[in-house]
Amino acid sequence: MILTATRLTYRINRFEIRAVLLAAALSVAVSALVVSWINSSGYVACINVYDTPSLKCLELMDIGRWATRIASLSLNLVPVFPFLAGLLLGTPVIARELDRGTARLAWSLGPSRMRWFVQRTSPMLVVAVVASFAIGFVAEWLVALFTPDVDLANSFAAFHQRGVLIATGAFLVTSVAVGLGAIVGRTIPTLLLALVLGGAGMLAIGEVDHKLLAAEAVPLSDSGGGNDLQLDSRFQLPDGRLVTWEELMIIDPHAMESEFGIQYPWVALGIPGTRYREVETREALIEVAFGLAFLGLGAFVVGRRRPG
Amino acid sequence: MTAVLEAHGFGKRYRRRTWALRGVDLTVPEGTITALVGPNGSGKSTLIRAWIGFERPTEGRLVTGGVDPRKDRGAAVGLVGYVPQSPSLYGGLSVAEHLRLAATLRDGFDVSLAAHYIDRLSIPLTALASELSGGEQAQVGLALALGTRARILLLDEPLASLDPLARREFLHVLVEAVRSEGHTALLSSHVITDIEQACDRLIVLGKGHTLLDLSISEALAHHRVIEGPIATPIPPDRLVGSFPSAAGEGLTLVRVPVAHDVSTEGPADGRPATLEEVVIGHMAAGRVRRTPAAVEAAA
Repeated sequence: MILTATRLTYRINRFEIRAVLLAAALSVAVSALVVSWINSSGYVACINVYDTPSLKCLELMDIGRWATRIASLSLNLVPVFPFLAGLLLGTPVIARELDRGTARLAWSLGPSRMRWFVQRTSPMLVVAVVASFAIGFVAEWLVALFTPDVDLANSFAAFHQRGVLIATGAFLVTSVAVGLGAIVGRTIPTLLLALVLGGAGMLAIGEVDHKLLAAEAVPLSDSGGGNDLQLDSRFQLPDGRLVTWEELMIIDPHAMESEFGIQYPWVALGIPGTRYREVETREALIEVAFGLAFLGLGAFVVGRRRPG
Repeated sequence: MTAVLEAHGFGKRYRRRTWALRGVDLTVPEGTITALVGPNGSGKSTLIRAWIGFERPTEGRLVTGGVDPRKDRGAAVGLVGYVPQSPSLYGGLSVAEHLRLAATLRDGFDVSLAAHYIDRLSIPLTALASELSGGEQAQVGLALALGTRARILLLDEPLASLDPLARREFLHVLVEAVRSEGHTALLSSHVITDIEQACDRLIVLGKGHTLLDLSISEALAHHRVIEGPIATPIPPDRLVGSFPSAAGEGLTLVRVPVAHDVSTEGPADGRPATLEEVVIGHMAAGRVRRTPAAVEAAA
C-alpha cells in the first residue's frame, strides 16, 4: 500500500520530480566527469601550482581551465539548488491539489486527511533531500579536489556550499512551501510567498546562526589558513584584553598617531575549523526543526480547512 | 423509517453576513433516493458539504449515519460516498490509478466493484482522466463513490454537465447500486425529469430553508396547477406560487388537502401538477431577495 501510494504521488507530481532529479543527476554527472578527467589526466597535480608548472601541466592548461570553470559553476549553483528544488517540490503538494480540487476528491474518499498528507509529502521530501544530498556530496568531492591540503571534516572551507546542509536546506524550503500551500491553497501565490518567506527564513536562520557563532567566537591562531570561520576582529591590549576599534580609540586616542601605524596586535575572532562538524550538525538540526514546524503547521491546517 | 441524514436547525453563514442556510430541519430516510432541489445559491451544496464535514455549521446540528460530522469528521467521511459537482480527477492519472489511489486512502475500498461499474460504462481503465469527457469524469466519480461501499451516497449536482444519454446511464447505475445494496442517496439536481425517474423523495430548498419535504408521490398528489388568471381568490395557505409556462402562459401552483375529493373538482381547481411544476412553483415562491433580514425573517 505504501509503495502504491508513493508511486501514485510520483505520478501526480512527475514533472516536478523529474525536473529536480534530472537537474541533480546532470550536476552529479558533470561533476563526476570533471573529477574523473582531472584525476585520470594527471591535472590534479597541477591544481594550486603557481610557480613553475610542469610541461604536462602546461599541455593540460586549456582543458584544465575549462574543467575548473565547469566545476566552479557547479559549485556556485549548489547553494541555489535546495531553494529551487524545495519550491518546485513543495509547492504543488498541497497548494495545487487545493487549487484544482483534487484534494476534495481525496478528502472525500479517505477518512484520514493525515494519511493523505503523509502520502503526498513524504515522497516529495525524500526526493528533495536525496537529490540535494547528492549535490552536497558531489560539492564536497569537488571542494576536496581543489583544496587537496584541507581536511574538510575540520574546515569551514566552502561553508554552506557542501555536505549535509544542502540537504537540510532543501528539506526546510520544501516544508515551508508545503505549509504555506496548505494555508494559501493556490499554486502561484504559494510559490511567490514561499520564495519570499523561504528566502527570508534562510537569511534569518543564517543571521541567528551568525549571532550564535559570534557569541562563541575565539581568537584564531590560523586566520590565514582558510580552515577557520572568521567572524570578527579585535585589537589586543598589552593586558590581553580584546577591544574593538571604537574601544581602542577611547582607551588610546593616539593609537593612530604612531609613525608605524597601530602598534596593537590584530586578532581574528571566529570558530576554529575543528568545530566544523559540530556547527554543521547544529545548523542542520535548526533547519530540520524549522522544517518540521512548517510541516506540522501544514498538517494542522489540512486537518481543519475546507477543501476549497 | 430510520433517518440516516438529519439536519436540526442547521444554519451556515459566510463572512459574518450572508446566511446561505438557516433553520433547516429535515431528515433523509434510510434506503431512499432523495432529490435535493433549489435555485442556484439556495445552499444545496453547502448542506451536502456540511454532512460530509467539509463545512462547519454556524448553528444547529447535523447527523450523518448517526455521527455528528462536526465532532467526528473522519467517521462521517467513512460512512459517505461523495460525488462532487465536478469530480476534479487527477489529470495525469489513469482511471485504474484513481481506483488504486482510492484504495490507498480508504481501507476496504472495493477496487473490483468500482472497476465493474467503470467497465459497464465502457470507460477504458487505461484512459487518463484528462482524456475523459465531463460525463465520463462524472461516471468515474460515481464509480469511486460506489467503490467505497458506503451506505450513504451524497451526490452534489453530478448531472449538471452530462448529456441526456450520460445522465440516463449515470442514474441507471446509481439506482441499481442503491436498490441492490440498500444504500441511501441524496441527489442534488436541477434536472426534474431525471429526478422523477430515479428518486422517491423530494426536498426543495429556498429562501435559505426547506420549502418542501415530501415523497414524490405525495408531492404530486398534494399539488395542482391552475392555468391562466385565477377566477376565485385562493386562500393564502393553499397558494404556493405563480410562474410562467414554457409558452409564457401564467400558471399558479396550489396545495390541495390530503383527503381531496377529485370527483368534486371544477375548472377552478386546476389540473394535476407535474413534478417540474411542483418544484418550480415552490422555487418561485421562495424567490425573494436573499437579504440577511429576509432570511432571518423566513427562519
